[in-house]
Amino acid sequence: MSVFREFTNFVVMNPIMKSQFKFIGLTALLTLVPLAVLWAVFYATDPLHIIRPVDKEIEYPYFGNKGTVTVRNFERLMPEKCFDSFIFGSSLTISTDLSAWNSYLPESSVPYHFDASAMSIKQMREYMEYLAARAPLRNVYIIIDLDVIGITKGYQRSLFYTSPVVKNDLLYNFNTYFSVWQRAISASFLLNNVPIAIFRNRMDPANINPCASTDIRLYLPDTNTEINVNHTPEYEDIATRWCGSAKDSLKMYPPYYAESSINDDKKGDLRRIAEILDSAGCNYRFALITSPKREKDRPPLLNPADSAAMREIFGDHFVSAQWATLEWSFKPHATYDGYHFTSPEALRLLEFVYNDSLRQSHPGRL
Amino acid sequence: MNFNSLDFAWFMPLVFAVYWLVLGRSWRAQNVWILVMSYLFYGWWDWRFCFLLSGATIVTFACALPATHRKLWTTVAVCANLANLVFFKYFHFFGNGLRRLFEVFGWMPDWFTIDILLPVGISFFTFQAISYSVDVYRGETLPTRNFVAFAGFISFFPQLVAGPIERSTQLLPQFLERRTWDYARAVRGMRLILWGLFKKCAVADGLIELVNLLWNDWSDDMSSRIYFRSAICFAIQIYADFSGYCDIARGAAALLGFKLSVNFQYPYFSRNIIEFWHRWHISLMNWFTKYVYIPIGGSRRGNRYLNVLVVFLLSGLWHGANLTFVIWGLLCGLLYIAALAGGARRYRPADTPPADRKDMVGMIVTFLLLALSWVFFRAPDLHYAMRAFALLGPESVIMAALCIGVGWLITRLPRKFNFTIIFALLTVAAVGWVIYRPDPGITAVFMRRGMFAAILMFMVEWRGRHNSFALESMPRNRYVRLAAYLALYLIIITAAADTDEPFLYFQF
Repeated sequence: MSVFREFTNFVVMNPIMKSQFKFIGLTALLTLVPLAVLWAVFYATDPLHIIRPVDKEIEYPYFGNKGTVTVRNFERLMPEKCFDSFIFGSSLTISTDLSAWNSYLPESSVPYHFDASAMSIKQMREYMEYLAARAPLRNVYIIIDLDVIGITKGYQRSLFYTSPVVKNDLLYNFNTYFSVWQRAISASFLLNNVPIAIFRNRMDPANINPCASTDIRLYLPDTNTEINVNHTPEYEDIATRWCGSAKDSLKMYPPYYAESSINDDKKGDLRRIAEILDSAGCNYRFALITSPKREKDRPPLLNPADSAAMREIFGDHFVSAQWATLEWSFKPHATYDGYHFTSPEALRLLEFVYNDSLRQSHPGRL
Repeated sequence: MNFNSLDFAWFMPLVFAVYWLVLGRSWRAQNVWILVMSYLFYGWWDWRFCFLLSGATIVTFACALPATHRKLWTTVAVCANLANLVFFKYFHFFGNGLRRLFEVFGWMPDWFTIDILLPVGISFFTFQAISYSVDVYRGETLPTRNFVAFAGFISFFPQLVAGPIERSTQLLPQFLERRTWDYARAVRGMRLILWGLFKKCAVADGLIELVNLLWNDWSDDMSSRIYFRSAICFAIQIYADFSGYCDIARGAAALLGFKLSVNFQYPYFSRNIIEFWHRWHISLMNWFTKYVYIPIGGSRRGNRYLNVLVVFLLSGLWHGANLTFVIWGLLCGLLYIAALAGGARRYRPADTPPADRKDMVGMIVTFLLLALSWVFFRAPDLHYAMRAFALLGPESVIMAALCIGVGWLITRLPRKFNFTIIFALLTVAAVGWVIYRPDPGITAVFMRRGMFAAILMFMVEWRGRHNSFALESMPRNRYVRLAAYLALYLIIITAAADTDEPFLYFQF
């Protein structure tokens, strides 16, 4: 106390320092108080549904809360439904019909589409560890593409946050909440969504969310129900535009082998995933697919050394469906946005992955 | 470290608090602190840049010390600094030229394609170092023996990466004396920072999407009007970006008790091209005037127009190793010469009052000519520039004429007419649009948010054009002032949350 008194006496006696403290205090007040108010509003309204569980549709074209919503749904529904089978990984086949997948699984399996698209291998390992501690892993279907393998960081700005519930790391959680908060107070979010909230009734639903045909479906509280809706008619226009050109361009720009991207860290994470699944006695498939999105680029294929590493780690559980998916992408309407496969194509992949004879008969070339 | 980044949001308060509260009694200790933090600031981009900066500092400092053979040592210092600049900035430019020449003779040398990292702000600190060497040689400043103060002068973080380029006679003496705390100056510094951030985050970054329509997202379906608007928006963007940086730099320096030169004095309120170049990037133009234009003869010896052209060509080349910058410099030089030859009045900011509403036509014509020249400045290569001009098309001439017509109408408005009314009407129109037709309205208003901010910026600057910066005189009522601060601050943080674009002039 005496030190504090001496310090305050010194400050009071020193007019210059007093003036400096006044300046710092006022500046801090003027800068921090508005931030605190904005944070309080964000916390109270939770516009991006990252703080509290939600039971209504989220209407914003926003990706950051994807992991959070999925994990919260899982935690909400798990006590009632007791899931034991999970789809995981890339968003390319996000429209996979769960009931169709169920037909490849033993009876009484309860599947859950664990939507955590474009998760890096490290994130996948984290989610797997999280799930292993909370659910019996009877069946797992992991879809992975080259973009996902290439991700080197744990998360990127505003996209693909691992749910703070899974991570349980103070610094990471602070970063995540801060980034989502930053998103919520950004001009683009406010200028778009505040008027939308006010004038919703007078707007064409198609214009409410520019990504309505794809992303909005992903963030619903009950992903399982909503994801199975067949949206193909909505995608007709986009699909015609995209896939026609993708077909031509793939012929013009044949695929090539990408540089090796599975380093020792990634190998370690992949091994850990295999270990978790093996120790749970899980029936799983690890499917590697490619994407038809590159309209004017040659599509890359996984480097043979990386393929060998995957085979070494996952053995027969690893299924390379790169050539097959490339071939299917020639078909009109294969994707609904030039990137994500439509529901029928996702089912085709499912058949390819689970039907060994079909896989062996596939020539593997375009 | 960008001024508009979160990193700077903790960096500056830390520098400020330690500088005044801990080291306030010793200016020498403050200098050491500034030096350390300046290198931290610079090393934030790439720690290897610090070696380059320290090398330039040591060579320039050492070469100024010997009392004999001054000419020789000055030449060494200038050549060393220029060699540094040429190697890092112009190697590709000249290397590619040489490579093409060699290829004509059938030799394909690989070593011309070495990938060299361009250090941030190299042109700025190199010019500052050269000015010190030359000033010492000319006897305009005494060589300092205080290395820390000198190193602080070269690396002073507020102006290190994008100016203003300070002369040793102006900034160095401030490092060699005690800085006293001044509450009013600190408040002024905060206002400068606030205004600079508004210009950068709300105006410059808010215009990016509109600017990109001409440069990245062009399509044959869009009309020339949209491209014309993009070209105009780029002219505003580059001003808001660069002058915003300079405002923040001046503000940060003021917080530490330093005074930096004014680099922009409302350049778009210039009545002709000559006046514009006395108001735009003033420190660079002063540098070229003092160290190039006057030594080669200025307006007295030789061909004055040729000397002007040389200065503008060098100024173009200073901006970057690209043919587009050279053409931009040439074009600006020709416009300047045309104005000189045409007998345009030589308004000097120091001794003539700023433009008035009656000068609106001249201001708009000047602005349009500059917007035209910025096309070369923005284009990554000549092909892009030509395509941009093709996209602008003849319809742009009609648009330009329309702008001049609006300018003429403004000159006819009653003197009591307040521009705030125009802004209020625009705001009402925007809100009305959203209410009437939310579907296109929301997108349209969102796309034009940068233009709204730009109009607000020009209105505030017009009102404050008699001062050294727009927010120098704020309303006397403290609540109104507080509301203005808060409004600006909220605009800044919502705009900054969207983007972390670096300042355009960092590339130079």
